[in-house]
Amino acid sequence: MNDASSERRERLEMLLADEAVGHLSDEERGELNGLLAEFPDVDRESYQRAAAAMDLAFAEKVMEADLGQLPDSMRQSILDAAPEYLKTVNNSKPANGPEILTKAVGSARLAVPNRIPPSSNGSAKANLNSGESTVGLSSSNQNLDSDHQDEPVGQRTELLGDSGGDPWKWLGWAVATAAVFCLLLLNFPGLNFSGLNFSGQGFLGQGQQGDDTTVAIAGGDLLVTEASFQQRRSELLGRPSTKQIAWTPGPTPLDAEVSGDVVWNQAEQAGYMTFDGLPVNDPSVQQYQLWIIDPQRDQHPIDGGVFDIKTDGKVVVPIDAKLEVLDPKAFAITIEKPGGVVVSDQSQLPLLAPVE
Amino acid sequence: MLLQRIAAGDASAVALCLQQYGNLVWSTARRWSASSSDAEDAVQEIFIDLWKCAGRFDPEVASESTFVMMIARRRLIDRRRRRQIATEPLDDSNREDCASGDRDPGEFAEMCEEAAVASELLSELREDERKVLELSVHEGLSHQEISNRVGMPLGSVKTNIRRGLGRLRDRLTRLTAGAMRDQL
Repeated sequence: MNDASSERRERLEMLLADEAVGHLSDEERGELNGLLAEFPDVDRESYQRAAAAMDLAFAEKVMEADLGQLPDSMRQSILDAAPEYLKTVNNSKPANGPEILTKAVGSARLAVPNRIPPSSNGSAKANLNSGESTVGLSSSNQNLDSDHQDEPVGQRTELLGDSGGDPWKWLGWAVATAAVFCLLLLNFPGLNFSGLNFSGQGFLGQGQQGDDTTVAIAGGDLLVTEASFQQRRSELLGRPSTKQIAWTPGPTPLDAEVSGDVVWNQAEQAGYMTFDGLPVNDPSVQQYQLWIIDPQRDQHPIDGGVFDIKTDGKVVVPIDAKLEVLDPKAFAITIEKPGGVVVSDQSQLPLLAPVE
Repeated sequence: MLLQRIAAGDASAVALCLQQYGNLVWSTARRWSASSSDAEDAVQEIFIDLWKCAGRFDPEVASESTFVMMIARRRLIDRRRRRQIATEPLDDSNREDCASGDRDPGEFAEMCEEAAVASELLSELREDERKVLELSVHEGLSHQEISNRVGMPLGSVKTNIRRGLGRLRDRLTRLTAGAMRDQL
């Protein structure tokens, strides 16, 4: 490990400690995700366990002093609600799908103003030359000379709030494009992309330099080898439980043809997005943002962070699952203002990968 | 292990889990929450997370109580970040009780092996170092709040927290590695 690598490793340890006590800024969170991608051997939860153990040590005295008695009413309420979630745990999918899913997602809504007309050939299309459509992010991606390359991306943030809108526009589109996602929406008439406390800072932008790829991560450049990206994605693809989901055009396809996929391994909580043909974006104008729809994880879609496409051709963007993804039903890409949004109006939703 | 039973769908383990960890989660949520209602919401979410994440519990990596506390802290941190609210004590007496700096860390070692290791480490620290960790890890104060309260430069606060957690992380890693070797 050279000096630069050692310094980055040390920085990673610092950020993990800060994360464990809940004091990471959005920018630092992006930096952390990038460093974790560079050092995949690091156990992200190790500092969280240390903080938990230390908290337990401090808490012992409090418990002895009888300062923390869970109210009986709350105890009963938790007991009453538990069977519903145990069913979910047991079956990995809800036994009474619609009922449980409805309960899980509550009153969400999805509205798609559909500013960009759908393409006629079924491929995702883009016209990013105009100000509104130009995408420009700072995220993690890199050129792909083959289908097996990867790199780090953004973080996820839970979403709250309600952007309003007409759910039935979205629903109609979803029915036509993705059966699974359609089912989701049917069961979650209020589903919306919304969020609070935006934190999905993009992470990496890429530029090819010989055998290495320079990855810009929230304030500094890292050097990430192509080989390591390729290897990690290939390894993930080789595992039996890994899912590979192709991107399909969203309700507002881009003019350019875009292909690619999402590779996701539930057990490892790791995944990669690949794109071929996703237009280069201008980060000062717009950025791409990933959303993960996971009703079992929470009733709100998850912000997967923003990212940039800096060169033409194939790129790969790692998905960093900071929070556990329990049962992802779909991955969606929107185009947002620089830095992303906490509440997406879905006015530009060019790509969707519904999990079968 | 209760969580393994819950992961297997054993509903009877839920009540036992609440009995075992309910007070711990509740008191932790109270410290991190701005109001009783906020704490109640947090506790509900924490236990739902726990039911959902039970299958991820690995006794070879951490004790059950450490895992429960980790899940609870993660949810509480997430809630605080989302809402961008300052953590305030429910009342002054609660804060005073939680923050009492004259404890003997050696008393706290019974809950689990990791907590015992943490207590041992805390007992080796200077009082001001231990206080900073307590205010950060246990009470959830920000670095700046801690700096203001103890009169320590902000940079020193951050360094103390990072170094303390790093040392404990290293010891827990050795503990886990030793346990695994013993099984071989």
